[in-house]
Amino acid sequence: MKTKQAAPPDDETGRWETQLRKGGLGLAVLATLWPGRLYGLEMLRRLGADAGLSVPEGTIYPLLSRLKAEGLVESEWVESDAGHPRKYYALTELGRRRVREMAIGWRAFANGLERLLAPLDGDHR
Amino acid sequence: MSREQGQAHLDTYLAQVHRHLRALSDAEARETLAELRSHVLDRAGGQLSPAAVEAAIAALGSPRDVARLNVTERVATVMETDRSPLSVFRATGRLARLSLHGFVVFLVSLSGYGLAAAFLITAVVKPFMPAPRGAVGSPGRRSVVLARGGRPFAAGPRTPRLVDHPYRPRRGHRPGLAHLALRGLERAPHGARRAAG
Repeated sequence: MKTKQAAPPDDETGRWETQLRKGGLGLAVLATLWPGRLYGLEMLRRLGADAGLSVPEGTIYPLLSRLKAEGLVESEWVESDAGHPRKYYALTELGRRRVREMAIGWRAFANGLERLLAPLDGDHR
Repeated sequence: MSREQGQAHLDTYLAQVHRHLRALSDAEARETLAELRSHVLDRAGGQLSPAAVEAAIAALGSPRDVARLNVTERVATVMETDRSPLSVFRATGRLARLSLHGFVVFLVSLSGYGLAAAFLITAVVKPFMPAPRGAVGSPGRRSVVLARGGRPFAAGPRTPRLVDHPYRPRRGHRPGLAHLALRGLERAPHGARRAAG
């Protein structure tokens, strides 16, 4: 009987990390907009500089489109000094409420997990 | 000259993305392309040299991948926010345009839903038009006949009566595929219940 061969552990870990990042990306993008409006490339740069998140550039606009459809962000085209228009995104009132709630949920989850993982520190059996 | 080359390269890329955005409305596609153009121009820092444009495009991804991400995300959003049957049907149709595989899955699903609808309509019509129409079962032979007319079983003057004998088509009538398949069931009457009388 043929059995499906398990993928190497590194691949599994990589997939898990991808899923983890994907799950947190919505919160991260909303959080970048907390101080004020930004356009796509600015958000990507902030995600990289402030959170060390390297986000595939092609994924940010579909995500923003989704957040906009959910009423969490709003957008407007603004003429720029660079000579071309830019689409700026800003949090709506609903978006500000949601990002606060998401941040509370995230911290509770992260703290709980941190306590659970504490015994692993220094234990390299 | 090099700026023009960069511009031409960007236009070609956006045209390729556009080809894969068929599932979006014109307004959605225009908005998506305008945003991608703005992104590339920002990333290229206004130089628009072919190398700078190439680097910006490479960071975005292939035209097909970029388009697919945009379409699937928009369709998923629609399906999550509005779950009316018509909306879900439209959204599924948009997804089907992404690939041949998607199109095949869409057709198979459509056939399944079509069959389900046919059975539902048959069930509703049956009490009012009880002549052999829809699925007719014989109690003793474990057979089922799909019919839309005629008299597959002996019927009284007004109400059809199921009798305990296999269906035999009238002379000159060619049995359909459903008849042939279901007649096979008649040959395996395990646990078949004989009709009283």
